[in-house]
Amino acid sequence: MGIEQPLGNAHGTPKLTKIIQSPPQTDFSLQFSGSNAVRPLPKPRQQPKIAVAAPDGARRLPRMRQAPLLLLCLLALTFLALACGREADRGAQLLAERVPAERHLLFASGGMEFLDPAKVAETAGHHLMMNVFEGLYVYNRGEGPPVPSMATRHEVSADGKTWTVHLRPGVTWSDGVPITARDFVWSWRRVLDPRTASRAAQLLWFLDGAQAYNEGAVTDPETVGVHASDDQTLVIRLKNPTPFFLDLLCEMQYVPTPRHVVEKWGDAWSTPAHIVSNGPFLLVKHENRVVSELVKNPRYWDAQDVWLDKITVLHTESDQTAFDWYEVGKTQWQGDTSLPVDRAPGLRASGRPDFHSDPKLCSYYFSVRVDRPPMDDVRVRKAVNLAIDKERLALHILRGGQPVASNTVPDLFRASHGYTPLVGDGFDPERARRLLADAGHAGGQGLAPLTLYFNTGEGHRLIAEFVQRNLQENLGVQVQLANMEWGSLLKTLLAGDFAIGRSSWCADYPDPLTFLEVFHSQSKANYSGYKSAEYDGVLAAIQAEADMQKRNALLRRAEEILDRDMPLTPLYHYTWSYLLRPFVLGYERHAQDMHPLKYVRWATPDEWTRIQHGAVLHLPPLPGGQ
Amino acid sequence: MARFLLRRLLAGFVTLWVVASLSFGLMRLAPGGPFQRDKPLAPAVEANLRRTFGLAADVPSPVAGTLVRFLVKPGQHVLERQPVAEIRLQNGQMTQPSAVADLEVIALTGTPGRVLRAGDPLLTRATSGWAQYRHAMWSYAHLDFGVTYASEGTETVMATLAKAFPVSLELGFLALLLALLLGVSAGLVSGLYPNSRLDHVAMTGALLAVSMSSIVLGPLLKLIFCVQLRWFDVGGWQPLALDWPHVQVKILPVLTLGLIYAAWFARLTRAGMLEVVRQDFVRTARAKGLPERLVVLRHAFRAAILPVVSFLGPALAGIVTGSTVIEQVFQVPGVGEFFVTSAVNRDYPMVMGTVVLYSSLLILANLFVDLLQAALDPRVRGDHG
Repeated sequence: MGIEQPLGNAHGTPKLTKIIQSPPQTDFSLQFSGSNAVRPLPKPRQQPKIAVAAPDGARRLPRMRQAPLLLLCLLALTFLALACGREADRGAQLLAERVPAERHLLFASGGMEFLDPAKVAETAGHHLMMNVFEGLYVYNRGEGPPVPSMATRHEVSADGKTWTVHLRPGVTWSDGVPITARDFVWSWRRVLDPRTASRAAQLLWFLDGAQAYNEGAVTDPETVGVHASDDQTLVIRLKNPTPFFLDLLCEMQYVPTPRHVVEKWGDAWSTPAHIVSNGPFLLVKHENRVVSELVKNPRYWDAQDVWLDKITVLHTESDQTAFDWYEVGKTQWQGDTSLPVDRAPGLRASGRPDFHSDPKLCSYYFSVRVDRPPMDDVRVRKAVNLAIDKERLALHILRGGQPVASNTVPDLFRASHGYTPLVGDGFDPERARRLLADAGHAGGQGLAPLTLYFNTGEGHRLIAEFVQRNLQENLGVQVQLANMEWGSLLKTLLAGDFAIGRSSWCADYPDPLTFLEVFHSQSKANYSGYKSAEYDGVLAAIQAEADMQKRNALLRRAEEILDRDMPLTPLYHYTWSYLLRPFVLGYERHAQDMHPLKYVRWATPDEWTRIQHGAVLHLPPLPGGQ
Repeated sequence: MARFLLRRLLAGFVTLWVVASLSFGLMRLAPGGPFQRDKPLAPAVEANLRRTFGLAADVPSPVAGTLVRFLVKPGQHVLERQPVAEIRLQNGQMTQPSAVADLEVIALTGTPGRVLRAGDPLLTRATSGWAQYRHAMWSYAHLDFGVTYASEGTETVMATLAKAFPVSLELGFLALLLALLLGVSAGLVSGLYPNSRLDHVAMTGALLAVSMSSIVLGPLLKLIFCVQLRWFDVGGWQPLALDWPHVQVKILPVLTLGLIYAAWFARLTRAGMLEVVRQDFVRTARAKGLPERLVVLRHAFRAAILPVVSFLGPALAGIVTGSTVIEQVFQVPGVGEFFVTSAVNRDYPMVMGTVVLYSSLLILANLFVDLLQAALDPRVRGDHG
């Protein structure tokens, strides 16, 4: 039975600690819904002898006491049966549904208070706005290289640092004004302008001169490495050869914004009343925390391939509500909310055809402070890593099909980069004990209890407890758990005032480098305090390398150094589970969790019959841009 | 009466100021900050954000020259007269400009080798808490609560509250109405016919409702009526209108919020009634030969609901804060959510906005209750003969 996600405590709600002694089956509100009910009273009115002191019906009490208990048990059982009993035939039910006639997709999503693509930094806003604005390139349908949108093609110079992008002729804003290369130049510089104060500006720092301009060290926007050589051609100068730059071009910060509208309306330009955009859908309604509506953009360059007519986004921060909406059929996709914690394992086990679990470019690990005893000894760090049975953690605690991690880079770069991440040490308690003994702490001797800091969250607690038990049983090392609110944990992590601290990293861009950069000696997210000139040098070499083969070798080298020095205890890589009606096609697995809705359509009658007979249909990726 | 009112209003303002100052202080004492989310931001990006919200300012270089190196790091607390950077002047001499006051470094501007003119920003420092406080109080006095951080500065606190508050108010008002109607009438009947079956039913019902927290009752009702029976939409809110699609989403939240207070009101009314019916003035009324209906309604009832009236103040507070849970459960876009999210996200202006809004509401509500009490009870009014 779904109790909402924790929302602090029920403030101010009166709580009485008396035992409930209620008469059964009477609903208070029904009994007194009409004042007439008072009239035909069977009993004569009594004058009270003593005010309230008389114990009402003291003689009847023993009998009454059991009734409510029974009733409560009965109620609880009924709901349990209602809630669980249906899971089994829910799959059949879903497959018996009719494909809707309307081309109208509904899904749940977190609220978003601002929609300016230059500022959008969180998932909900990103997922909505990437259907309203499109950059030079756009995410593919599923795993595949980005496909051209506002651009048609591009050339990269031999050193990998200069990109010449050719715009698609004839593309216009939704008000009919042509889109030119100058729009891109202006938009990108706007993101970088310190006065725009974009939280996501860092994603443009790959451009030459961008960081200095964003920091305010230079005030001339011409120094930023993006120029229009004519209306149709954009010349981009990069700081380093950036093999994943095509992926970056799909990001929200790289879309064009309509200068003529932004300058006219200021901050209000991205409201539905004024917004002018260039994506497959137009924003026609946005009530924060309630609903947003998109309709098909007839002026979109590829409008004939956009299948949906309308998209409605129901905003909620509650996973339970999003789940309920999906289950009662109000939405066809549970959206970018998570499954309720208590339902996910059941759903996974049920084998429902609408349950999906996709790998994600995120890594969960413990930062290990490398400059504080006893973790300053690499043998102790290795012993800790070897003593945790991650397979069991994934199987019994996480229960979401998460791949275990032996290093920080997820194994999702084979297709795009031809890169296979390093496989580090697995579970080996024997070796762990030997290493610990080598370090002079056989059986945990002479070790003060380690403190493991983690932030509030049921999942985090379970993981911390699992690790605590593993280290105790396999190494004899005592671990104390310290639970904090996220803000406090981050402060602790940044101050470096801890032995082991829960951390995670999600990719900023789809490249192994984003995970490795965390441990650069200057990185702010390098909570471990790991400083290695050798490692920093390899990272610099990776950034400078244009050749993919050599770059992969360098990436591997960096991973080996991390594996040798172990400034982290990797635990697992994320998966993301969601529910999607089986007739929805074109929503394909994507490691960055990006799913442009212009690819989405319902199954045709033919396809639907096949799906009903157990087929799993996927639409293939589109041919990418070069 | 006018003096009483004036005194209460004045006290109200002092209370508001104390509450605002305390929340301001507590908010800043809480670890973390508005710009720390999942990942730490680059110092320059944080500096840009902070500058927009008036939480940081640039420190200009006092001299022209070439930056050789910085002597401080982002996040560092620099003491007065501590050198912050090394600059080579045009004549080749080295100089180390130092801080004129204690400051916290947010970001360094540029990298070594940068050519500086006098007055170019050298680094960004945090605005001191005291300066923030003075600025905040000055703005609040002008009813300006600034922009919300959550909207990245695109929306003012006032605009956000103006959208959400009417929703909370409507929910609270309907719930209070339900609670009063249901609670007082049930309590009245219970008090008039104590120990009757009706009384037992009402009071056990009340006990059940009182013991039930809204975080239990809400999801339970939602599960039964929205998910299983599908009588109502799962969460959401509709503008004020009287047709079914608009009304149906409001039924459960109002019921959940109202039921618990109805129970309190019922118990209070019953107790009040039992006490009052034995008092002299009721007996006098009866002795005068007044019809029972008038005795109850005109004399007994007015005195019996006094405890209810005094409870209205706390009840209003409870309904207002209790609605945080209800709003979350039923997806009502009211103010309740801001209580939690803005505090968790350290959205300082929004926190202050909600705190001041609700404090003023409570102060006004208590004032209203006092006035109501005076109107109902001749003893409070002091004009009985």
